[in-house]
Parts: sequence; C-alpha cells; structure tokens
Amino acid sequence: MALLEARGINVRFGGHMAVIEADIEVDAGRITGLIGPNGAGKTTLFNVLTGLQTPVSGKVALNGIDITRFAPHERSQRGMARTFQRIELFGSLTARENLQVAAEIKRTWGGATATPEDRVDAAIELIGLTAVADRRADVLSTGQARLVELGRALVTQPKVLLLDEPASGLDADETEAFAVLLEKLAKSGLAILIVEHDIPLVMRVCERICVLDLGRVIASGLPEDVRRDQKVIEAYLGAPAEAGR
Amino acid sequence: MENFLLFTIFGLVLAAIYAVAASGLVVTYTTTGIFNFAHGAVGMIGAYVFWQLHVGWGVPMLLAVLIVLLVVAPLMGLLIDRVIMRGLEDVSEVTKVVVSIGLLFGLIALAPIIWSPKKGYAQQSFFGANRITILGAGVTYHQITAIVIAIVVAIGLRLFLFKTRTGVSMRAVVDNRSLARLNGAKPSRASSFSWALGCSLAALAGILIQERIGFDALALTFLVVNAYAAAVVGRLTSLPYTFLGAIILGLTQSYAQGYIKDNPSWLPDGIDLATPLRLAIPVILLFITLLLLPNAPLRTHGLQRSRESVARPTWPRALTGFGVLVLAVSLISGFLDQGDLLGWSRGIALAIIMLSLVPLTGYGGQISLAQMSFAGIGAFVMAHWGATGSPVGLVAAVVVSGAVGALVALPALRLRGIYLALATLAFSYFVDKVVFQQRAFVAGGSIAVERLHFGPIMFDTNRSYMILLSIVFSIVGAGVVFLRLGPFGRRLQAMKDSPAACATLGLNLTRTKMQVFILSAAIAGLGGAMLAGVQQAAQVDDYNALNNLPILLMAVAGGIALVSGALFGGLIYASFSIIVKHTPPFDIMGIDGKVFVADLLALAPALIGISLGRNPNGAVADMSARFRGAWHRYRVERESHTVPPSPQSISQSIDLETLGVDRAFTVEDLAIIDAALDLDEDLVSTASAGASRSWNGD
Repeated sequence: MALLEARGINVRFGGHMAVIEADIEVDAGRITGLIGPNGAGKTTLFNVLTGLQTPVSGKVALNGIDITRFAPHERSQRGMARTFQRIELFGSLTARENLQVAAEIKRTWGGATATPEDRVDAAIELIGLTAVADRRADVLSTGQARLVELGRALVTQPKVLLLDEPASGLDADETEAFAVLLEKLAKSGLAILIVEHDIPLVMRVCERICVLDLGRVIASGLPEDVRRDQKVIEAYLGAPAEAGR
Repeated sequence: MENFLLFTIFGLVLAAIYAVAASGLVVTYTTTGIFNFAHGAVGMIGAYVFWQLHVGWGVPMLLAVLIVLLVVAPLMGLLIDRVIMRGLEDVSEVTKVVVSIGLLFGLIALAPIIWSPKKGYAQQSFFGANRITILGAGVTYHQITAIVIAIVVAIGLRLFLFKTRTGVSMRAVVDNRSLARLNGAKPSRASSFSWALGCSLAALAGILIQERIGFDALALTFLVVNAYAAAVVGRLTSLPYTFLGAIILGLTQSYAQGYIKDNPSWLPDGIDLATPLRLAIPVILLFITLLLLPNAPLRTHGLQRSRESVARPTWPRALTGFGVLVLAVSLISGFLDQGDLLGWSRGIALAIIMLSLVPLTGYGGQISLAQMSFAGIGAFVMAHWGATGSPVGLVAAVVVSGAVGALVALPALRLRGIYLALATLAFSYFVDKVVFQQRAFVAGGSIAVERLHFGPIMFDTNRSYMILLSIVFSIVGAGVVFLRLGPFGRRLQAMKDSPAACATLGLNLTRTKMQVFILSAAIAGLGGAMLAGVQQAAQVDDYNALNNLPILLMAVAGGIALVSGALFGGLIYASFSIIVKHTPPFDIMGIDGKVFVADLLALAPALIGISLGRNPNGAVADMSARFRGAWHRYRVERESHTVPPSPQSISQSIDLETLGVDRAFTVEDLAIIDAALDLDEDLVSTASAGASRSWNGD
C-alpha cells in the first residue's frame, strides 16, 4: 500500500471543476512526478493533499489512516511536509531562522531526537546554503529561496515530502545538484511527490509519473510509458502530433 | 398579537436600514479588499450633511437627500479612495485596518467640531408624521419608505453588478485585479466607483436611521456598525446573505426591545440585564455568526516584499533604553508640576496598554480593537480586589483580563484577521454597554483605587508613582523583547509572514493566536490597573469603546512592532492634553484659540493613522532609519578620504536587485552596503551570488 494515497478527489471553484476524480499514490523511498500543462490542477491537488483545500469529495490517506478531514497542521504532525509554487518563506526572518522556526515548531509536537540547532545546521549544509544562512529570506534569489523552503520542510523530519515546482528559478548547475539531492533523499526512505515543469528533470529522477490535464489524471505509470502516451502528447502540444515520437 | 405585528414591522424597518448599510460595506470590501471600518461614520456624516442642507439651509427635503446621495457622499468616497486608500496595495492587513480606523476616528472627532453637540438637532422624518394603519398597527410613511428603499437597493445592486459593464468589471476586479486589467477593465475606476457607491449607501442608511435615534455622532456611527453583523452573515461578500442577515438582526433586535422589559426577579440588586441586553443584541448576533462560520481556508500569497520591516531588538540596546527611561523619568519628574506629572504618568500607563499590541499585532499580525476594554476590566478588578493598593489586585487584574481575552478570542481566532478586529470591536462595545453599566461592578462609573504599595514601599506621591510606571513599563517591555528573541517570538513572526507555511510545518495556528491574545489581554489589564492608579480611581470613561481606537492608532504610529514605539505612542497621546492645558488663551477669527487647539489635537490620532499608509513602520523606526542614514553618510564621507571606493566596484559588489532599488532601503540593505564598502569578500560574493554575477576584485 502506498504511503500517501488519494482517491476520487473532486475540487470545485464556483462553477469550475479544478480537479475531477483524481487518484494519486506516493510510495516511500521513491520520487513520484506530477506533471501537466498550466492550470491542470496540480497545485490544487497538492493543496488537497496537504489540507489547504477542502475537496468536494474524495479521500486522502496517509500511512493507511484517513486524513481527509485533518487540518494542515495535523497532517504535518503525521509526517507530511511541502514547499510552495509561490514561495511562502517567512520574509522577515533570516534563512537560518526559517529553518529554526520549523525545528522549534516540530519540537512542540514531535519527540525530536536532535536539538533544533543541530538539525538546522545539518539541513543548511545539506541544501548548500551556509553562505547565505544569515540573510533575510525576502532578499534571497528565487533559487535560494526554493532551497530554503526545502530545508525548512526537511527539518520537520517528514515521511512524505511534496515539492511544488522546486527547480524553477534554478540554473543548470543548481538543477543538477538539486537532482542529486532529491535522489539522495529518496534513497533515505522519504516519499517524494514533485510538481515540475522541467520535464528532463522529472524524467530523470522520477520512478513514477502522474499526468494531469484539465483536472483529470490522463496517464500514470513509468516515465517511459507516460512519455509515449498519446493523450499526454496531445495535452502538451494541444493537438494530435507526431512531434513527440 | 397586535404588539407582535408592530414589533415585526419595526424589525423589518430596522432590517431595511441595516441591509442598506451592510450592502454598501460589502460592495466596497469585495471590490477593493478594504473593510471600511469608517462606513458607519460616513453614514453619520451623511445624516448631518442632510440636516445641514434641509434644516440649516432650508433646501427641500427630497433635494437635500439627492444632494447627499448623489453629490456629497460619492465625493467623500472618491476622496477616501484617491487620497487615503490608494497606495495601500503593498502594506499589511494591519495597516489597512488602521488607516480605515483612523478615518473612523477622524470623522467621529470632526462631527462635533462642525455640528456642536450643544445645539439641538431635530430628527427628520420623510412625509412628516403621516402614517397608515396596517392590521391595527400604526406605521409611518418614513418607515414604509425605508423598506421600499431597501428592496430597490437589493434589486438595483443585483442588476447593476450583473447587467452593467461597470458592475461586471467591478466583480472581475475582485477575482483578479491584473487579469481584469488585461481584459480591459479599469481597476482604479472600479475601485473609485465602489467607494462612491459604498459611501452613498452608508449615507442613505444614516439618513434613514436618524429619524429613529436622532443626531448623536457616536450613536449614529455605532448603529451602522451594527450592520457589520449582517455583513458577516454574508461573509462580507454575498449580498443575498447580507440581506438575510439584516432581516434576522432587525427582527431579533425589535423583538428584544419589545419583549425584554424587566429584569428577572432572581437577579441581585445592582445588576441590570434587560437594558444592556436590548442594546447588545447585534453584538451577540455577531458573535454567534462568527462561531457558526466555517474555518477560513488558508491562502498562500507568495513571499511578499512588504514595505514593512523593522530591526529586531537587541539586549544591549533594549536594556540601555529601559535604563535611560527610568533614569530620565526619575530626573525630569523632579521639575514637573503636579498636573504635568499626572499627564505624563497617564502617557506611560497608556504606553503599557499599547505595549500589549506589540506581541499581538506587531509580531503576530492579529488586530485587536478591545485593548482599552481589557484595560478597563483590569482597572475594575484592581478596584475590587486591590483598592488599598495591594499587589494582589494587580495580579488579579492580569489574570482576569487574560481569561476574558481567551473567551473573546475563542470564536474569532479560527477566522481571518479582519474578523478578529470586528469581534474585538463588538466586544468593546458590549463591555461598554453591558459590563460597565452594572452598578454592582462599577458603582456609578468610578471607584477609588489607592496607589500600589509593596509592603512598606509606598508609591503614593505623583512623582514616585510616575517612576514606578516607568519601571513597570521597562519590566513588561523587557518581557516583550525576551519573547521576540525567543522561539515564541519567532513563531509569531513566522505566523504573520505566512500562516499557510506555518500550518504545513505543524503549527496549530489557533492555539498560537490564542496564546498571544491571552498574553496581550493580560498586559492590557495590567496597564489598565496601573492607569487607575494614576487618577487613584477606576473610571468608566477612560475605558469606553471609542478609546480603543486611538490606542491602536497611536501604537501603530509609534511603531507597532517596537517596544519603543509603544512608549512613543503613549507619550505623544498624553502630550495632546498637556499641550492644550498649557496653551495660553488667544483668539483667531473669533474662535477661542484653546478650543481650536483642542479640536486640532482631537483630530491628530486620526490624521496620524490615515497617514500610516505612507510610513507603515511607525515613527520610531523612521527616525532611527534616518539617523542611521545620516550616520552612515558621515562615515562614508570620512572613509572616502582614505580609501576612495570607485563607484563601479560598489555597484558590482551590491546586488541591486536584492537590495531592491524599487523599494525603501532597510537596515539589512545598509548592512550589505556596509559590508560591500568594507570589501569583505565573503559577504560581497554572497551578495552578488543572487544574480549570478561574479565578483571582480579590482
């Protein structure tokens, strides 16, 4: 059974169905990709998984427990962490303090083993931001800010990590380093779900890929299968095309 | 049965007026995102202008109404939009609220200056006293007109918002301002129009309601404030639900006034429930509605480069500051006369109350408009349990006001910030009208309180009490600094920056808000008890609902996220009455100069509040930034004589994008520039890394 599982998710914004009957599974130790054109409903589905958006219907389960009605903080306390497409750093705090707050929040609810400071230092080193750790978060570059968000999510020691467009704003070298970091995290047993427009990166790191279009899951499976899927090609190119072959 | 019918009709009339007022509020809020706390005050001004035109200048009634609705009120709306509200796009919700609170306070202060309360203002009724009888109940034409107007407003708004180009573009602007602009809508025109329309509706409600309650600036303002409850039923956005809310509110209030007559016999003497209950129905309904509202979804808004930022406190600076304060007060108090001692002491006591807003609003981003009410509760608890100046009373004041704070916050904290502001405003009105009217509790509005003593150590002289106040301020201030520098302070700051991110990190937002709200109410209670000591009496008038407004305004003016800002706000506020006292009698154009100065200073908190859109960080941060800037220029100038840094090397070493050439410089920016000027390579390369620029050492 998958660590994080969503079944039959429907989300409505007024008269518009943003997500329709979507299913998704995220396994431990594996990177799962969630791709699709702009407006496909990826971030909305992320918000449903993390509790920021209430679905009209559908079920979300973490570790076999139904968490559909859980508040965001209760899901986080059960091992879920995320980053945001539009960066949600604590702008008036430094990069280090962003991680420190997360570690301190974690201490209020979870029996943390290491002291917050140790975990913060380790995470800053892991994401490679020691040099800018003491700068205010709102003056960091987009790439640095995304890494800080990742580090902040990691210090809560999650079981499932949801990353919303983590590589946008990174240059080629940074993306490469980021891919290596992701694989390392997955190897440690973390379940990772990643929304990303950088398809080469997704194809490289993901073991499973789920494709959303107009709110529906149109394909799901191994990268090579998804790549050849006719519906996926149409969704991305807007018409039946040979270009994908 | 006849009575019931009568109460129903009265209720519907009231409902009609509330509906008109509330729909104006909703129209402005949905189009501009600004909840206009001054809506009721605009209605009040509208009613007075109508009186001026019709009674004062003899304009026929219908023409007077039309001039107010089609000329005066829309102009007010345009003025509010263009002069005050524009430019509030990149400030926090707190600043938006404070600016409209400033306007509310300003209009309430302005009305009695133009229309002296000493004169009589006869209530004006449409069609005179004509009435018809419906099923045995006499109903005036004015009342029927009110109901007809509400129906016309409901249908008119619906048609306008859905069938006209302007209306549709107003709705589009709500959803997405920049997208609407791309599609040809003009957001600025839509917002101007919604302000004009909102003010017109407010004025209409004001004109309709004056027939019932007469011309009293405060009563008129707060009656339209009752309409908030109706708007909250519509979650501030839905017009049909707002009308439904207005009907529930109007009917309940009318039945309450009709049927709640006498106090039950089991109530002890000195406790009156019936009168206040009749008055407090809208507030009670507002609280019930807040309890029933579903949890607000957490919205993500991205990292915002707000203009608002203040330096974090440091212990050396804070302790020096507190030391200087106590020393300065000890020395200066020796030269002040008794009146001034009391005046400045009052300022420091108010500063303690304002200090309660620093963790709540400054750090945590939550708005309370009830700090003076908590202070009042603290004062009267002190009067009951510490009337002899016993510290036990002070402890009780802190505990009880903190506990009451928990009760108030409970229904509102699940919801977005604006609802907390509303709930606290309603609560302060409730405390004013219900709690502070109980003879058993406040005995005629004033209870003697002796000044504090700790065993044999007395603070009974004005001077020693002022020194004690400065010490108490310093202790509480140090506590607030301690909080800011610790985990809880960081958490509050994080919650203010991004509640959504906090929740996904496992933070229970409601509990955190509750903790800080209780702390804040407790500090306010302490300040209130100390304030009672200044006058040696707990007086109801000091803690009335209206007094909450300047407290918030002056605290934000000083700097809501700074301990020194609270002190600054308290002292400036106290200085107003001291200035009036020392103003020599003079005469300008037949106006008594002293009265003129007093009027001007009564408007001062409002003007300061309204101007905060321009400088949201407050006076203390502004002054200190200016001082640092000057000091920095001086240093650069001095150093430039030894090592002149070439302009090129500076611009290369500083990442102009991260420094934000398009926003105000912050302390952090200056630090980066400092580092760059010192040519510290580590920091320089860090600063330029963001834009992938390489550091050229030459």
